[in-house]
Amino acid sequence: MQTQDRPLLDVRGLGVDFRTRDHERLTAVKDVSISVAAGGSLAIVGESGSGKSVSMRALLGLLPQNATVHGSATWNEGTSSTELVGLPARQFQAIRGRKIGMVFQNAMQALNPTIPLKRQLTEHLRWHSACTRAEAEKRAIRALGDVGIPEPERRIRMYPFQLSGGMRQRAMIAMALVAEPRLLIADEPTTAVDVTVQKQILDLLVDLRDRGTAVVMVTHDLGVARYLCEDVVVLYSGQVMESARLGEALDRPVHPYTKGLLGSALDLGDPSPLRPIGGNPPDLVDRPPGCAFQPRCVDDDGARCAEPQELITVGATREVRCWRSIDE
Amino acid sequence: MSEPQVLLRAVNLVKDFGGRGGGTRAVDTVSLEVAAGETLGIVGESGSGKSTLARLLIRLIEPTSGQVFYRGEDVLALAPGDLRRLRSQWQMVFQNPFGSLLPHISVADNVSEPLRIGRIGDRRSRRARAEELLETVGLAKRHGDLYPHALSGGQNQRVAIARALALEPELLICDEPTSALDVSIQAQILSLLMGLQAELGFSMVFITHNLAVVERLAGRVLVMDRGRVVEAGPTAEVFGNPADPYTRALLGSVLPAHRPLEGAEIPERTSLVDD
Amino acid sequence: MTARTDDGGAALVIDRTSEWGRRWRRFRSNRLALVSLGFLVLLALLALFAGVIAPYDPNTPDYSKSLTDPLTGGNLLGTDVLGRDTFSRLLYGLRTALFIALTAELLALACALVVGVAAGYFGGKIDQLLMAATDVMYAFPTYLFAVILATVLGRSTWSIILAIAVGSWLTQARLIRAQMIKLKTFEYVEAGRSMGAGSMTLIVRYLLPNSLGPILVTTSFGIPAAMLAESGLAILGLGVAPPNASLGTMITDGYTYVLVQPNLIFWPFFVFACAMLAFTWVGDGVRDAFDPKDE
Repeated sequence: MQTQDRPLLDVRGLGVDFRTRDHERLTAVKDVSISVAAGGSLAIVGESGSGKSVSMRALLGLLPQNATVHGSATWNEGTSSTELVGLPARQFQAIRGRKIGMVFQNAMQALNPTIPLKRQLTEHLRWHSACTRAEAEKRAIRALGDVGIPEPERRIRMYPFQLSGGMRQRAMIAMALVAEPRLLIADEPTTAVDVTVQKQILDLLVDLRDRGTAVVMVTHDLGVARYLCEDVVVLYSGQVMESARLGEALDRPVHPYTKGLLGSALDLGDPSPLRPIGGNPPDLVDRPPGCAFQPRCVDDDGARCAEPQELITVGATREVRCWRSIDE
Repeated sequence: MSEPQVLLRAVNLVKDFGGRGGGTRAVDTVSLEVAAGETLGIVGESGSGKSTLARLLIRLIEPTSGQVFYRGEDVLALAPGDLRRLRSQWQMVFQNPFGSLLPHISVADNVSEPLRIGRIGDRRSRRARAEELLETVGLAKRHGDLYPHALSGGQNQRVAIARALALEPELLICDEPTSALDVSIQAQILSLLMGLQAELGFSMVFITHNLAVVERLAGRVLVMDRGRVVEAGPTAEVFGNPADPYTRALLGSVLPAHRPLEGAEIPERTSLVDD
Repeated sequence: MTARTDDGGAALVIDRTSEWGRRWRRFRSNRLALVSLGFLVLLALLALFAGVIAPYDPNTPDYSKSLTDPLTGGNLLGTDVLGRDTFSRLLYGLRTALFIALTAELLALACALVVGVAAGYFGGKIDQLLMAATDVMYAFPTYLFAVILATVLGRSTWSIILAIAVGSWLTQARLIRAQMIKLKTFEYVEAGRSMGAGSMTLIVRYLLPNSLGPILVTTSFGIPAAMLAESGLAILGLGVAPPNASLGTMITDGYTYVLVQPNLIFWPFFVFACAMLAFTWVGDGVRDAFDPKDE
């Protein structure tokens, strides 16, 4: 892999607004900048309402009609680069699925229950890259094998409902991988599966990452993020609160929200007291005028927190949206 | 039965679903005891039968065979009236906070529903008790006038806990009460439950797939796999020195947030493929 | 206590509206449904006060002005072959049609509720019986049944109501049964059972209020279906006995003179079609109000 100055995916100032039925404007994502290097792995961490899924869907052009996306997201490969924001649907097809694979939370919804796996996998492949039927089938079987499905030659003839939950989740990953994308976006792919299956799926993604596919993992589980990713972006109320190398952020968190998330996470064999964040996940309709996290922040000092917070660069690789981080 | 401190005792519980040969055994010969004031954790993955077991314990469903004793009384032999009397001693907190509350009545009415069903007090005293309970679980009195849809998932789970406490139960069955919630809210609910237990002294049967939660909450643990108890004992012992391969696989799948996973043995991949 | 007060601090916009309030709000936001509802209320008022509004007796013939045009001889919509005032007959016809449709639907709904709840909630024998009966009914054309009933009972308004109700209650019972079976597995029902609630409490307080949506929707679609059935029977010659008018018999009778005096068939048909559409649109609105797709 050649080293490049430009990251594979470079998102600058991404914003997503929804028009609601009552003609209100709801800002789900506000000025989010992230970048993923080729072969990199990024965790996007946050609670419900943090905008983590919405921003990923925005990048892939998968938002409903009532959403408006602004900002910029460039997909860079070699010398060419494509702006994803505002890209016409037809041109998106050349990127989505082919360059960027996707895995979602609910495998049963992503797989068509009435079509055997074989057709779903090969059709997918034949849309994206012109290859013969036999070749497509060979690649599909290989993809199923790669995701750890035993006897792929037999299972490729099955319907999704004939597979167990964990197996379906893998089949979906296989579907995302069959076109050999350069980036895989996984949106909470393990939330609905058992812990042992989760571990297997994550091991699969680790393998994939080690073989050079860039991975973006959307999750609320810091354990999952830590297991898989090198970088982390913590989102709250549609804004980046902290972005850093993962070890750096989780071992020495700076933003009170990151600290709160860590304080809420229970680990086996760790007797440290539970320090939950008070209050409720953010209300996107009624945003506080200043720092989005102020209502729940243990360090709220009033005046300075009541002002909108800027992202402040701390050290070489970290950005924090909290004025206190200036002293760090 | 003879020991006074044993609150709940189940003997050889079996539950088959479906019939005529094609059925599945959801719970397979499970025996357990819950002592007064203790928390028993039941861990397992989907299909392990842990939720079915919880419902058998309080006779929400009838077992195929086996016995349940509550303070020495044979629960399965009870007449409906006596069963109703005992039910006030057991309450349940469910997984889905939106699904377990009645959507068409106010939060206060939801909280006082057990009192209403038990015909305890009048409207005003029930309302007063509901407000008191709401404050106990960290909500405000004014939340009582709202309807469940106006509250967040975490707040609704607090309401469900308040409702469960309305009759001052001796035993609280919690079926994955935090797994539908955001991490920060999970932690709030867990610390709420721990605080309430310390204050009110009820026993808990806590069902979850999260081993870290069980370790924190439960003195004793039961590990279930496909309807069977594969391992049981004091939590520290079971987790510290797991004897069963399934328990080891479960423990090996837990991903710590605070520190990197140190050379944990990764279970054989294909051995765990279910089906 | 370790519990924190769960107050976000920031003043949240608090939604105090009840379920019903929210449903009404959603229904109201559907213009078409709201206008349709207004139209139906108007029709109902016209039907109710037919005796006051109608300028003529609907059944008294006046052979001096047979088949006149609208706005002639003091008849707003003209007259029929017997010289009866079309406008007056239309009002009474509307009254009959609405009365038959509403009563038949209510009757069907009442039976469906009892049987559907019993079958869905208790299961067992009642359930098997209901399912078997519905299967038989499906194999039997409803009209044939109605014809037999109307023949046996004679052409009275009540026999028509009974015939329509018998034809439609089973499907509704099946729907209510399905709803009960679905809701029975909901956590709040389990919660109710764990709190010691008896069957009556569970049905009345837990299951029925939460099945109101589907029940109201079938009702609002059931009424136009009953109107259609009534006119169907009229075409078969089994409508209300003459000289009384209903929309169905007016359409059937008007058909004979369609070339001579098209007004005779146009107006009852127009009112009938508008009412059908309005009921359907209200039904759509009710369905959306109870089952929001967004949010």
